[in-house]
Amino acid sequence: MQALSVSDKQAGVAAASAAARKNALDVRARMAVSVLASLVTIGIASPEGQLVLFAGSLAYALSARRGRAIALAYAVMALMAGLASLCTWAISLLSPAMPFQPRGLAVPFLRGAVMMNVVLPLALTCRIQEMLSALKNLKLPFCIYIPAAVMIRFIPTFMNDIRQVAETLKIRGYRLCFGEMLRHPLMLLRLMFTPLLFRSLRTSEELGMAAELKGLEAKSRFVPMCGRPWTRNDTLLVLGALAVALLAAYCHLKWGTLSARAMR
Amino acid sequence: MIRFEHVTYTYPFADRPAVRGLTFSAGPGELVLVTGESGCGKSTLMRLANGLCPGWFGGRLEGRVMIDGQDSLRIPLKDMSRRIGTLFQDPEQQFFALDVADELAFAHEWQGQAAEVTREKVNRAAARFGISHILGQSIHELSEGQKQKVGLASILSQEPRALVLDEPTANLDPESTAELAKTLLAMKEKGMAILVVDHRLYWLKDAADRVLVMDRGEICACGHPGLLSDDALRRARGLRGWQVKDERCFLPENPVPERRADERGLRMDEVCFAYKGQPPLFEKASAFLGPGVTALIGGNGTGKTTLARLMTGLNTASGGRFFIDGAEAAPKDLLRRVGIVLQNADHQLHMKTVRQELEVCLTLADRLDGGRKTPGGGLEPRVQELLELFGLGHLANRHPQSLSGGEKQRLVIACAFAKRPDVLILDEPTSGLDGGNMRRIAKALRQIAGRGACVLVITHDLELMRLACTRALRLPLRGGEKTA
Amino acid sequence: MKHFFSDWRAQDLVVIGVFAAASKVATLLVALAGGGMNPVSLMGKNLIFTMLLVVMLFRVDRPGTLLLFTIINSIVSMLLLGASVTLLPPMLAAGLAGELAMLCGRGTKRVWNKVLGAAVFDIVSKGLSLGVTWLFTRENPAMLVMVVPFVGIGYLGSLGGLFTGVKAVRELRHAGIIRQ
Repeated sequence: MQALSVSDKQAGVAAASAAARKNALDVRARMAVSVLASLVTIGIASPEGQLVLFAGSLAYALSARRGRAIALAYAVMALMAGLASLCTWAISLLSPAMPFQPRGLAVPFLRGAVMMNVVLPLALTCRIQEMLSALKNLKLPFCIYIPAAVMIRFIPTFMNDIRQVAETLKIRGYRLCFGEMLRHPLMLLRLMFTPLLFRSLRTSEELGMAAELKGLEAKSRFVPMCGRPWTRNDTLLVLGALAVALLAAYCHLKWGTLSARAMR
Repeated sequence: MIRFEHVTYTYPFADRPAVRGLTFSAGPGELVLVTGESGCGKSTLMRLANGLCPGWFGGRLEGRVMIDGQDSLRIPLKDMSRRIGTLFQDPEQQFFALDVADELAFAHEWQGQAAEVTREKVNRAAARFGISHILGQSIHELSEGQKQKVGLASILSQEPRALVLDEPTANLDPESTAELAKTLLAMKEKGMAILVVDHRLYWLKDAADRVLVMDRGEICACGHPGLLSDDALRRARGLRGWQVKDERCFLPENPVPERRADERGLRMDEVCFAYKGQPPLFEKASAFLGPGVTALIGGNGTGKTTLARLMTGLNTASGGRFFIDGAEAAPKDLLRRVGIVLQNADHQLHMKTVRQELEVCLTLADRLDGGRKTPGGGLEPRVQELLELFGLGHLANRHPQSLSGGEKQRLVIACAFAKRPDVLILDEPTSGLDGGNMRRIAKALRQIAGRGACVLVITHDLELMRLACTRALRLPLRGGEKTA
Repeated sequence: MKHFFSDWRAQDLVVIGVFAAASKVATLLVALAGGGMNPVSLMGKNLIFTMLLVVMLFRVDRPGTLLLFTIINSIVSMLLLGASVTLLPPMLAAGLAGELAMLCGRGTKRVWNKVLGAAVFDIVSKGLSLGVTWLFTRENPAMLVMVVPFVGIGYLGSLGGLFTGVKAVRELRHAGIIRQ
């Protein structure tokens, strides 16, 4: 009876993850959208074109269904934008050659928002475990896949190690606070990160031995156990991104250049 | 299967051989146990068997190591895994993936095997070790026993004919150790040649066919496992026990007396705690820790580490109270008066020399303490006192990271003791240590307890329990009643 | 190019990956602890990053290490932390510049050769990142002026990291972890 329930559970888990994989977007599609957005947002210099990009990218970001995280990111961005505006206003007082222009601030802020919108779905929707699968889908060469996989593998381990180091210091009586960081920055860095340095060296030695003993070498051919095929949703995403980019370019050319001339 | 013929090996930067004149063999269906005190050359022997010496480490090899009738020098390191599998002391350090299935598949994926073949091998390996139900689990969520099974499954899916295990029981509880012994016995019966390098001896009483005892790079005793029943031999070579009783059954229960204002020790009264989103771990649980050395005993998931964290003030209980020496203690008081030595010594060493490490700890302790418990005199005499108490005098100017496992462990205990805590908690202080170092730690704990501290030890080491612990605090703690 | 991709040992790639993870975790934690714009944490995270870079370059003594480290860092940062893909070209350029510097400085003592590579990498990457910032903020030059002090402060941290990197290598020798 127990064996049946375990295999049912396994089958259920497998079916659920298969369904999730089918609906999730491929990391290659997401990266393509990031690259396209970067190129287009840098090229377009008008608020009109940037607004189109912003609208399209916001819809994409919201599709990740992580409203709270996105709201937090926007709150931080708003704070940064406020501080930047203040600084540029102050600079304009000191240097008349750089006058304070609200319209001149709009395009850089919109660029930042567009970039944030396209990278958030990439960062928020993949759990770290899925990152390794994502790497496999990229079909990277051995010399890039192995260190990237190792990096992803050890980020959670090292974060746990640092947490333990911090607890040890707390127990010993070291105050881990901002004030201490200002008073004794080098000592704090030494206390926190020396164990990490030694751990890195020991870990890399042991894992390196394991890699050699597993027979890993550059001539190896990689065949993933579970690949994720390119789906219709991925194609739709990339085509949608292209459409938004073209629309933004059109708006920039039709209205953006006019308004720039009017400003001058 | 594995044959050493007059093997002498010298590491590249060493001026003398690490091992000398080794001659022995391990054939199909044989389990050979290699033991000896720290630094005797066991690890080098293991590295010679799996080709890491000289394939990885370089160095000079004299004599021959024959693997399946072939000279190991003629076998490329990358092909070794198909002949000899190696399981390191900490299997997690060998893992490339973040979940179990990916880890089992990793080596096969990079050998260019078809996806269906890889899937089949993964499922077979998982079924063999009873880990099919955790295939989707993260490696960080596994118990030590599960990690070891994943490591073994991954290695054996490559179908080697021999297996080398480096201190496989260092992080295991007695139940998992017994399970591992059964697994090795089953593999032996299928014709696998097995070489086990370990300090713990008792668990292979029924499985080992031969024992090699090493000392200073040479085999000083070799033969039937029965030779380990010689107490004189074990003492002379710094070995652990051969017949080890399960002390967990025999240690008297830790009593919980009525609270008094003048009592000495740490008391927890009707403490409640649950991790977010999980059932309560402690519900109105009470316990008392008096002066002496107490073993904290409990199965996986019963809350040993959590209890230690609550007692130290690292986690805050949702209900109940703590008392130290009769007076109620808030979490920040607990942090000040309770010391803890975590399992991983490397996380607790920060400075350039042993002396500096102790100086920093004493300075921090003085700051924490506000001078209340600080004895008179400067820093130097107190550093010297700690160095002598823990046998670290000759290592004062050494880099802490250059110390052996036993020396590091003594150093981190000394660092925790620098705080002069009323309560000292240690998490697996003798994991991976040889008999001599284990006995030194046991003696240090008795000395600390002798100075009036309450010492709580979380340990799977039955020998440490016998030598140092006088009573046990058993988990799970029953709530709402005093444990007798 | 094919030779570059095919001629790596697994053990060296593992070292690069482990150090990339360590540098990412360390810089992230310093930034989180002190705030990303705080001068002390800005300097601190750059110091740690450069120190680990110097140690890694010393540990994996072969051409292409710095470039590969940069590629890995950029890819994983993009996947995991949402870093902008626009930083990839300047980082690659900085990696190449660092490699070229190490190639030209091959006659010097090993640790100083690695320090040279890390120093060139730091200055080129900071300079080019300002270039990327200009691309994003060219409509309002004052914003670029605003960013320059932060990059400058970060660079001071990187300079500190060069020296602590050398000290770290010496300490690792003293500890017997790495040998001459």
